[in-house]
Amino acid sequence: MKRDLLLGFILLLFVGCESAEDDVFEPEPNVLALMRIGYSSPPSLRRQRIKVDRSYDIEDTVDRWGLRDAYVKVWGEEDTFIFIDSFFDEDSAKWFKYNEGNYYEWAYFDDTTLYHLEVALPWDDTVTAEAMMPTPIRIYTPADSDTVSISAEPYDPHVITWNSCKNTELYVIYCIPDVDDSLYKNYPNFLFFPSFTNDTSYAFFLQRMLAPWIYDEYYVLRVMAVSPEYAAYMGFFGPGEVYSNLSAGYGMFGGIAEDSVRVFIRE
Amino acid sequence: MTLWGATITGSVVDKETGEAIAGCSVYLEGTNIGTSTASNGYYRLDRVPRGNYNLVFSMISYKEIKRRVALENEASVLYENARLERAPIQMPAVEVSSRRIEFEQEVTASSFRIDKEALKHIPVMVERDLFRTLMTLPGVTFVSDFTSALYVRGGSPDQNLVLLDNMVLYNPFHFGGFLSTFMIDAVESVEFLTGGFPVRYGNRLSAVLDVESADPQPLGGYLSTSLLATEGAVWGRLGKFGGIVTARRTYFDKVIPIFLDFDFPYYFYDIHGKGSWRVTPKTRIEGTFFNTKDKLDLANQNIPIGAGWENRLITLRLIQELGDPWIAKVWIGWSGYMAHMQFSDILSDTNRIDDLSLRSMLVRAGETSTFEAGSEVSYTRFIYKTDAEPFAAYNIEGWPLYSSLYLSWRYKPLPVFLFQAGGRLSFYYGSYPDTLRDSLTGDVLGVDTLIRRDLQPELRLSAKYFLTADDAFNLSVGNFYQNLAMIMPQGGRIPTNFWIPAFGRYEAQQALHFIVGYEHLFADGSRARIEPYYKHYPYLLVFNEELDIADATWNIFTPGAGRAWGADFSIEKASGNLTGWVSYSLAFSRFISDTLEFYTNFDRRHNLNVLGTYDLGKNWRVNAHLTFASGMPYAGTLGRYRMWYWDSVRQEWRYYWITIEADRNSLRFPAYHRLDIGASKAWEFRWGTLTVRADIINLYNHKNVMLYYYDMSNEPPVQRSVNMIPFFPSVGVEARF
Repeated sequence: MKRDLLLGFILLLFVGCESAEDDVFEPEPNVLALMRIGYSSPPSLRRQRIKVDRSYDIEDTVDRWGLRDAYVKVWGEEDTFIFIDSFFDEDSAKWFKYNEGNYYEWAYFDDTTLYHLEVALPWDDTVTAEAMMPTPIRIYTPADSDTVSISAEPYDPHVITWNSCKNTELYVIYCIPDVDDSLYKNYPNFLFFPSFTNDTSYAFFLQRMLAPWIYDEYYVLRVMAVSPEYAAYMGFFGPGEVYSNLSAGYGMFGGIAEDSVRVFIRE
Repeated sequence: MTLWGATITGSVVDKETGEAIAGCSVYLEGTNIGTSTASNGYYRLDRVPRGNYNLVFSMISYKEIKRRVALENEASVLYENARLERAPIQMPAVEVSSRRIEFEQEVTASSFRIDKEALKHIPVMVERDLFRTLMTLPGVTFVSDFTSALYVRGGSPDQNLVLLDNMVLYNPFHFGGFLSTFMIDAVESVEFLTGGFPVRYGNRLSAVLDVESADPQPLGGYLSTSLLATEGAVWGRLGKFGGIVTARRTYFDKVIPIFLDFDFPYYFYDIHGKGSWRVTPKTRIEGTFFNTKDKLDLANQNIPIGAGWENRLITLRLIQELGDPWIAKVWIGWSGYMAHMQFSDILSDTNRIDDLSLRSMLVRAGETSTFEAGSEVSYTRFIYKTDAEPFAAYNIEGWPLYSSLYLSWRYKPLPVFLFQAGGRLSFYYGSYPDTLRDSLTGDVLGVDTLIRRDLQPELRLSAKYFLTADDAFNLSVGNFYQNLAMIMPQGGRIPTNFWIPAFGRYEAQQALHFIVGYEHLFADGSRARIEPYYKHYPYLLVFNEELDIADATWNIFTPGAGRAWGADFSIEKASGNLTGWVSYSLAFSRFISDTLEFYTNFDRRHNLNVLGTYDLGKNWRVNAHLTFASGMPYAGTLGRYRMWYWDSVRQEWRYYWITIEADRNSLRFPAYHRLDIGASKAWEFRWGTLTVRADIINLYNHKNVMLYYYDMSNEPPVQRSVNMIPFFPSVGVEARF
């Protein structure tokens, strides 16, 4: 009986055993289709870029920048745009490839149309997404080349104002010293941090709370209207899982509208 | 054997103090008739056939008494009291007999008792530690060298009920769990139940560690020091009064600044005391004081991190003999716990528990039938606060009431069969104002009063059937409730020590245990056991790893279900120059919810421990401990991708790498293995004993992985590991007087 009991126990154990396999890496598409809507050159025809890439095994050396030979298409109610990864150089009368994974097309987007993205990957897989684009944005005040004195703040704050944009989750404001990139290191880091608002105006005084100004210099004031998809993708709402509105993989299809003015700021 | 027979009854007391001796083996030499004394020292042998016998009273640390008794007829009742005298040397025969009686009387499966001697002679990691010893038992696993938290049969550490003199201890660990708060010499007895525990214990799902403080002895003490701490104790008796105080403190924070320009940022101390007063021969009052504190402050290193916690426990216990065979016990006690963690001004966590408990127990102990009834009322103040700037402050505070009544019956209807059945009915009431505040403005963002009223019936049954005099088959089933949970991030591998009570959206956790077992007792008192088990968790809470502190509907836990199953094997060698045990556990532990299913981070498939102590004679002892454990699950990095974005400052496209994490706990670390060895030599002097011991942890310096991370500054990224304890020698000295 003892032997039978022991055998029974051992059998019970084998019945209860299950295997546990390690999770393994599988590549996924990674597409950034961020349409940039400009106001400066009506009718806002702009050369758009879509980046097609993939994910990589953590132990692989990544010596490429993206995927060639994808078929990338964006279409709305009336227009269809085919993005391609090559261009024709008339001087040498030859076709050349852009950098790996960069697909370009001249495209105009309006803010009333639902646009569809389709990326057929080099392997048998297709990624799709939908998004509406922000309205082109235009800064009303200050005007380009204005001189702005902010010594009277906070009692008389100088305010940036712009138009209200559709399909926009929030506005992002930058105040950037108008110098070469290499000189950015001479400025406090906080100066390059963006500010956020849902309003159509922003006071300089608030920007100054983050970092003191360096006066008597030219600055670029840039405002960006961000579509809900890109706002979520960039995590502008706080920490969380990386957002994607693609049917598979990583990345985003959405848009931003930008405008900027160059001003001279004195105390 | 006969169903009719004479009765031998009486009580056993300490010759010097007059105190009742519990657990003393009383048996008739050359027969299978025996028992052990109850808490009041009472014993009773029924159904003794007519004849002449040697009646033996034997107890560890006491001289054995053997008396010739004659039973003239089967209806006679013989009264035999014994007064045992303390003896410094244990008699092997005593061990054997007490182990046989334990084997014959013990009905609950998965029960372990470890004596002080075993605790003293296993290899130590800097300090002797109770929990480190418990980790070597079957069914118990661990997650790292840096925590002595016990993971019992697929249960997390918060599912273990840790009692000190019948009061709950909420955090019996020091920083990182490296050591437990119990000092070995402050402990009299330890009972560890890895499953199917009786209805006397409630409000936990997995296991029970029932620790009794050391009884005061005639004047004595000791002082010992190791690389980590200095520990000492004094004890004594005066008439009806007795007391013992044991204390320990680390000294790096005091010593290092003397030699180096460095403020060591951490210390802990433990104080454990017990006093007893024998008011009358039948009335005893005992009191326990227990205080432990940990403090970590990195401010002097310009790191704005601080953490600390403190246990305080005070109990008062009345033990009243009501007349043969009744005994009553009443406890009143307070167990306080405070934990705090601070990361600069960004995050502040505070947990405070004040547990006021009143417990009572009434026992009628007999040879074949024992009744036990008891009650418990706990009124507990729970505070958990998190202030996570600039997002939100979260605060729960309440006074949950937990009250229980239980009844247990242990019966041996046949010489080959005994069972214990019990029922416990508990009522839990918790009411919490759940307040969410904006930490910058202090504005209340939301308040919701969360109330729970639960009636929690629990039934437990254990049975044992003797196939032969040395082989038994046992079975335990039961259901269990638990009205609190600890925050335990899976990746951290170390419990945070922050408790959350069941309230509002979180129900009491529940478990069902099914245990079958087979055990064999060898002639020398050694035991071998096999115990397959299955635990079902109908409702279980795990920490929500996707917790977003900016979310006003903050859910700390993800509710779900779980299951744990496996089998424990152990074989012990209890006598001879070589003593020790081999334990092996096969275990599976899964958590299942609507959206998640994964192996828990303590799902260790195989766990093997081999421990041995060899007595070389002349007060020399050597010991060794080998551990082999298969790799634990973890959520590691599988891949990466570029997160492209438009840099509006520089007006160019840029990217940074985002890592792709595997599914929760879907990867495994390499197997863990480690060999520790030690040796000790004692010298006896007129004033006492001096013992010097040396130990080597991780003799062959195996790099056991605690966690992996990827160095992304390399191309491709390089996997690096944080390893556990490397080769580590230590020495210690103890003077005992």
